[in-house]
Amino acid sequence: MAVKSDFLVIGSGIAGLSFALKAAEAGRVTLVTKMGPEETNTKYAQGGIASVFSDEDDFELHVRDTLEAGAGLCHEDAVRLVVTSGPERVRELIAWGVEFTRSDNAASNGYDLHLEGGHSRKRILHAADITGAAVERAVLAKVAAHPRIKVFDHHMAIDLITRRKLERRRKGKDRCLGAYVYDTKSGDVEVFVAGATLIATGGSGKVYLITSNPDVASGDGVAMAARAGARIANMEFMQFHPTCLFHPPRGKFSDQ
Amino acid sequence: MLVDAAGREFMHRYDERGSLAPRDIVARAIDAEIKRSGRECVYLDMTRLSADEVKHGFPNIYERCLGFGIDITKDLIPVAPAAHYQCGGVWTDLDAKTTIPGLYAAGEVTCTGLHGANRLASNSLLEAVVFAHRAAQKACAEREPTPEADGIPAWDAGSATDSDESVVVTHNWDEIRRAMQNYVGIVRTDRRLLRARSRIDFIKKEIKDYYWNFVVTKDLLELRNIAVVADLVVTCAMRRRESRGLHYNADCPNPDATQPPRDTIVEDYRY
Repeated sequence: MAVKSDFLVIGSGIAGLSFALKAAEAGRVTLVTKMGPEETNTKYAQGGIASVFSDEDDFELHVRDTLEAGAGLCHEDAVRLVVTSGPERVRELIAWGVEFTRSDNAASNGYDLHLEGGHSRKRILHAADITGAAVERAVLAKVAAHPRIKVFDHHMAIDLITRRKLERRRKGKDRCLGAYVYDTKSGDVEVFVAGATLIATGGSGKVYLITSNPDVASGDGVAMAARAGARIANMEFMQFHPTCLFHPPRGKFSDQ
Repeated sequence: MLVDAAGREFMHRYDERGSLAPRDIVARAIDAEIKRSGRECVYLDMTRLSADEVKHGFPNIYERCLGFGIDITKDLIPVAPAAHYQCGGVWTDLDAKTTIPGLYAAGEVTCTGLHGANRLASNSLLEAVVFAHRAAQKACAEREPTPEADGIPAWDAGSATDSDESVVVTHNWDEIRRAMQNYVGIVRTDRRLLRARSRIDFIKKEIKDYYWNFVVTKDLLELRNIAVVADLVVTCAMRRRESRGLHYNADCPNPDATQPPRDTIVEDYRY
């Protein structure tokens, strides 16, 4: 039996969860995630979330720092959009129950802001040193309690279903209709259809032998989108931690 | 201080500033040292500090390493470059739309134009919530009816049978990851990229046969996906004939100043 909804979300990191909460205002949401829903790259984010929160900071400085790091390849419109939307989105996370570390510094509006490499001002909101886990936990609790969001854990999307693939052609009008989804426990594959589909599967650290990412980060979303013919860009830019604690693999697919 | 397996300091062989050289130079030196020695890691040496200095100055690192059986007051700490964050990905516009109507993307999986050739620390969670918000706004405003499932064929398992040899999956999985680690890491060269290219092409063919003949498993699906991602990373790395941001190719070690910086775009990927 096909699973029908208005919105299909693939992935349960912060992007998938926050989209689900918003889309659920307008319709029914189905969210699939291949492990338990809390096992995501978001959870392992140790730094924090950068946003202009201090009276001593401003949008232009955050834009400039981002452009400088990007070595001439950032799209300034995207940078400006993200930077200027930042404070509103961070306040939304706070309203959803994320508890960022506070301080009594009036200039930083009551929050403890860290300074990180490449930032010219203190602007990193954090929840001690487990920001990702705190964000994931708070937003996941809201999603789990939402009556119009159904979470399918231990479900892995195999491939997107598109008009072109159904009609076996490479050109002409296309549309994404949903995905084939594999139930990792029963072994069944089911059709999931939706008016709109969001890919929010996170990163692909597991393409390398040594990675700081959790086991789930196998680039499923990029691979699926590429096979469906979506445009892919800039995959040569993989960020490495040069001095990650190295310990040999303990199991065949486990070596964080 | 960074040392080799014999405990010898090596950074001064690469830069006169030693371990105090800029971060990208240190990263490349570590990569070079690992490739030169053929080992999987280099070492951090903290044994020159007193045990008290180490325990009080670095309590978290001390505890964490002790959990792995490494006493950093006495032992060298093995360290290696680890893949951490994917700056490219599924291309989207400012509304998180991909090039396929009805398909949106947000978070690390995307290439929105925010990170360019290198990500600024802690910008990624922000990017995820901003583009998830934009996607939700657009998807609700341009809401399409849920498609009928009738016209969509059920999953075709064909004549697939249970595999009796999972070792093919394990082997290919390991081979892709090793090739990427060794040949498409921090320092790339034309020769290394070609080596990765030929290995990944071969594995892709093997997976194709395997995929259609056997009942799917999570390991097989993930293997098929990392093969595509590895293919895309190598393709993009070969196309960029310059070094910029996180991409460093020793055969073209400088940014190309003869033309404006441009994205590496893959349209119509064939697998």
